[in-house]
Amino acid sequence: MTATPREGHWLVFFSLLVALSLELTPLPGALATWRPPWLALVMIYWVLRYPRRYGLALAWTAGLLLDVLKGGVLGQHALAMTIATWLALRFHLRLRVFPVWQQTMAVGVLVLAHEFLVFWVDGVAGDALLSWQRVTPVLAALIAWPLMSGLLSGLRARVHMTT
Amino acid sequence: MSPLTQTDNKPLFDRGPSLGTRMVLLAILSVALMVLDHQQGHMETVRRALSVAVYPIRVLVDMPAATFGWTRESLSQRHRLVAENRELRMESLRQRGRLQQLAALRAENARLRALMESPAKRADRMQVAEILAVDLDPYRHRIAINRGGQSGIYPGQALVDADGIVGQVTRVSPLGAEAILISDPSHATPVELNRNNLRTVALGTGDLMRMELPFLPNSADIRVGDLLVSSGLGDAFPHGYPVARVTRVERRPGESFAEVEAEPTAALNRGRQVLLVWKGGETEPLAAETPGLGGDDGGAQ
Repeated sequence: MTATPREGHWLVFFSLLVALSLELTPLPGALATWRPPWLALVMIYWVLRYPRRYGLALAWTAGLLLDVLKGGVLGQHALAMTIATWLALRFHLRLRVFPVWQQTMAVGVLVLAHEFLVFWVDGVAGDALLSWQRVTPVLAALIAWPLMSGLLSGLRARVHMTT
Repeated sequence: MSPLTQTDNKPLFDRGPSLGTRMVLLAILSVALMVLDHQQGHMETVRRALSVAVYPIRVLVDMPAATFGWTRESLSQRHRLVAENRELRMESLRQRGRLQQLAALRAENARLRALMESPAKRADRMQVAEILAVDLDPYRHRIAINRGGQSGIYPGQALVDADGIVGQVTRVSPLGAEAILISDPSHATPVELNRNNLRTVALGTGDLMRMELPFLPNSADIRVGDLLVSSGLGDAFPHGYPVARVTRVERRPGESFAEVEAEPTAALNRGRQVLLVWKGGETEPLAAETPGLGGDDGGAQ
């Protein structure tokens, strides 16, 4: 009944592709800064579930594609994704057994590190405006994580991906 | 969350570099990429190749907006289409009337320029491009358009809409291009006052409805309502396109510069179509279409 590990690949790549699209989807003006870092969230989800199968190289590549899509400095999101994924992998044993709310808080910290790196590179590259809105993606991620991980777990159960 | 299970495929001995080492290597690689890309711009070929690969994602994201526009067009009611058509016809008639005058003015201008022995100005070639409905970065005013190197777009090319200058192309890939808006905080537009040719620079502020003119002395002859047009200096924009209208002039006796603000005339956040302008293009579409005045340089002799 259960799929071999290899058969779950398409779900992972599909979800990453959807995350890349969501990173670009137009939001209404007032919510423009409230976009959760979808790609980082999806990547963190998969490395928490399959820490041996998906790792830093995939995170880095996805981040590089996001850089090209967003037209920013090449390597900006690649760096942020690498660090966030590394933190997730480093603490995956603890993060996986947390209850949902605690896991959400921990993911919030990872996302905070991710956003800080993105902001830092913006600052070094020359044009960064410091405002309270810089933390809105983290708040949005706190809302998005339980929903997103629930959805992906449901999909995973449906295609019988093994752990 | 499912509990920790034993089927984690964990090998007894790890092979390859450890997690920390891999993280450090990838981080160094990212930093190297950033330095190469930002400081020297060496990565343009890599970026161009990758951007072709991910262009479908941009189109995919744009699709709902495009479909919505298409559906609205094909489902709108007949009487509304008729009304719109009539309105457009009237508009076209008005524009054509004005164009006739323009042809006479051009001839006169060419004659005067010939008298002053300065080279005649030529009409700019234009092409319509569509703005893709994608959000690039909420803190920078960048847009993606659906024309690229294959249509002859080049970096630095000016973008205008029906009411004025929108921005300029910053990056070109074969299928699409990215442009910076004149309201981006890192963008400066060389402008002049239409009324008295006073030249200055208009800076973007990060606000779509506001530009700043910080380099005007208190004694400068500028008033609220003055139209700023592109001056053509710096070779970024062609000369004479509207940029912004002055909304606020505050002269501060204690300081050396006045505080002047202006509002862009172009619909920076509303339009879906923009025009790409080729400076001093070879073709002169205006003269050819204007009735009654054959030959564009007729008045030059």
